[in-house]
Amino acid sequence: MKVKETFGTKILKHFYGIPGVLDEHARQEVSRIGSNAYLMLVSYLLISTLIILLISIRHLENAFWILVFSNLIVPIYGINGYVLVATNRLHLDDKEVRAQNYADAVKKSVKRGIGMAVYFGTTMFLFTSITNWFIDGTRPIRTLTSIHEIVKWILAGALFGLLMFIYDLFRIKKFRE
Amino acid sequence: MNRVREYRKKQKLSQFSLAEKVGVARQTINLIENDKYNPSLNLCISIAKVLGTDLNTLFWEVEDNES
Repeated sequence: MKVKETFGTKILKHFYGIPGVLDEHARQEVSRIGSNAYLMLVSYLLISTLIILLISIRHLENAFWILVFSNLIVPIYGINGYVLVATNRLHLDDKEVRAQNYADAVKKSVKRGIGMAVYFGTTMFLFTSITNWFIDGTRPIRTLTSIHEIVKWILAGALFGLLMFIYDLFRIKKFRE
Repeated sequence: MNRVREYRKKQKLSQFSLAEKVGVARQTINLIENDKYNPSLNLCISIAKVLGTDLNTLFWEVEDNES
């Protein structure tokens, strides 16, 4: 029985890294993990705001940079890390395939890895051209035509794609009937 | 203990096939069979329909000494 997925379901699956069906059990677990993540995030916001407030009294600029970096690090590594570990423990991120479909699943992972490599390389290349412009005034066209930058982001993209492929490969579970 | 596993095997279905037929993940069927997850009434009905039986047979616990 195939149920058509809504856009909301697709987003939820993407954020929690669930490749299979988002059934009632998965939804229940996702809600629980989401509630825990929310509690962690709110606690972090309250505590960090209080600390930053105290630091800013004497060191305003330092307080600003601490807040910016901790706001990047805590949600990415802390909260995302928790979500990743929790979904992994419950095997929600497993890609279960029949033994005869294993080769097709690996092929899909290769394609996904290539896609991620192109996406990461291109996005970061364009992003760098803009950040360079803001940081040291280098015109974007100069960054975009620099051989050094092009090679750097091709290699970075390839490495990212390879890592994503390996991660995906470990998630594929062969199921024999 | 419910009798989902017993009836699934009678129907010669794998966990994977049953899961596909009722539209859930294989892990969910495994959890139900091992009494580690309480499915919703709708899911129970779907499973019973696929296994060609009823809810009482699948999920109602019958004591052995009851006669």
